[in-house]
Amino acid sequence: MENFEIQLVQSAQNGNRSAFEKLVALHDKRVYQLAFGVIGNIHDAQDIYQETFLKAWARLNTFSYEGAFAAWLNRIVINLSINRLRQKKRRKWLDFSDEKQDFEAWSSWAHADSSPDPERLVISGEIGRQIQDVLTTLPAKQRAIFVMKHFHEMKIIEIAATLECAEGTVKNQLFRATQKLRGHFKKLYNEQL
Amino acid sequence: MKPCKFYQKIFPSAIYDELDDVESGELKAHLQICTSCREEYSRLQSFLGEIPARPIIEPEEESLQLLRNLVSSKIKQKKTQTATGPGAFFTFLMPRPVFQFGFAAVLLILGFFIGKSSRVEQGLANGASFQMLIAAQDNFRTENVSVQPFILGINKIEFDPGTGKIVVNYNTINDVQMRASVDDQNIHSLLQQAVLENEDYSVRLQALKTARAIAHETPAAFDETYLQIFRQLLSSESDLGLRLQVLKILQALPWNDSLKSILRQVLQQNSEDALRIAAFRTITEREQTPDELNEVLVTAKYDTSEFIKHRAEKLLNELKDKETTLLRREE
Repeated sequence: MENFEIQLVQSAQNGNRSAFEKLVALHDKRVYQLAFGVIGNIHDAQDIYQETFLKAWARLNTFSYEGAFAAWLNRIVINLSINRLRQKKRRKWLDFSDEKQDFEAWSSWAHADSSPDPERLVISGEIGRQIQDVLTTLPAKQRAIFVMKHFHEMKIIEIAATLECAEGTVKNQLFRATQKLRGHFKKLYNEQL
Repeated sequence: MKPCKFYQKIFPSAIYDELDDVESGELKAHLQICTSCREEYSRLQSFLGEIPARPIIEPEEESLQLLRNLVSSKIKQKKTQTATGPGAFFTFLMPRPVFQFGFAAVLLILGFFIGKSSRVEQGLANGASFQMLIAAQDNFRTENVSVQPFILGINKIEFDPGTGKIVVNYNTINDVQMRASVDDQNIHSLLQQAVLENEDYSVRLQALKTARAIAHETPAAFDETYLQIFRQLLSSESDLGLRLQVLKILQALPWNDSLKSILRQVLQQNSEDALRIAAFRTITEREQTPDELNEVLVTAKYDTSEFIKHRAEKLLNELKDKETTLLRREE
């Protein structure tokens, strides 16, 4: 953790709101990307973004400088996202957010032309759409692990710390996630992957 | 020698270069002698290599700024509440979590027994008694339970796609659940009450999601009164997410003058980029009259949002091209 960031955290812990706003600006892109990766729709990702920083502000005094501030935020955003996914699964019958529709709407918007969009889905075309679709079929924790590992290139040890579980568990879940993803793509293309 | 299954489990970790030296050495040795594992490893490697290794979404600075402002204003609100609220002074009296939990458990058990003895589940769903419940000034008795209408509050409102019914949980002195179809007037008065007056964000959100489901199923259920309610929500609702929900509902409704006027108002007067963009998209997707579309686009060309400006200019050029082609054909 850099000195500048430590000073910001200390200042925010003393109630300095503008220091906290600077911390938000430093980390929020990653927080948003992580939330979207795990949750898979923009509306919920924006909710998780807000909840993450509000929770971080409320619990800032529990941050103990033992690890990086980014890792501490990761833990909050991933836990909130997993919880949200599980809640949604439990209440699936009354959820109308229609993730697929949301994704398709944003996707077609993002790729309609090269105009400056509010959001841009960077994995383009068919593969991006399919990855997003297939990711939604994974259980919450596996999805989070795959997103952290593959798209955010986090180390397994960091993922284990984020999820507060053993490295072996992360490796196992990663194996299961890749198996399921391959299984779905095999079905889609009816070929060996 | 370990079985193939053991090695296959660590393939992803190996591909992501996450094995220690011992594991890595063992795997290499196994791959040299096992053809099927070698092929499987290579297939997995090329499969994972096909998926681009970068975050799926790249948010624009503009939308991040919007979210930062939201977080900042919520923190401000919280700070004001804690500074002025009675809780700030009495914080030191707050019991430890274990006592809070115990106290909550006692209340829960107590509530269960009180609720069990006084729960109203049937009998209130029919129109007449429900109207009495809403309109009555004094307590009245139904199924031997005294109901106090003046503390009526909605806890939950949702659409059950299985039955096509709307389910409303509300409470007077008792908890009551009502199930009715979309054409039931009581449902609509409760829905309107929930979106406009409920103080709980999650209830307002559920109510708007229910309205969105109704809009998709039976858009005709939303008459002029509703459109006025949506217009009001777009200017008075404090939460941006909920205002976006309102726009999603409007997207599903039949295209008419009132709807056009609401969307135009949002596009011309609203300060939130996200709302103007959503309104702009709906108008440009659904407006079929070239003159009216042209009018909207000419104004939108000067919008502060780069996205709207760019799209408006592009669509204006497309309209001009179309006109020119038509003129040429006529000639």
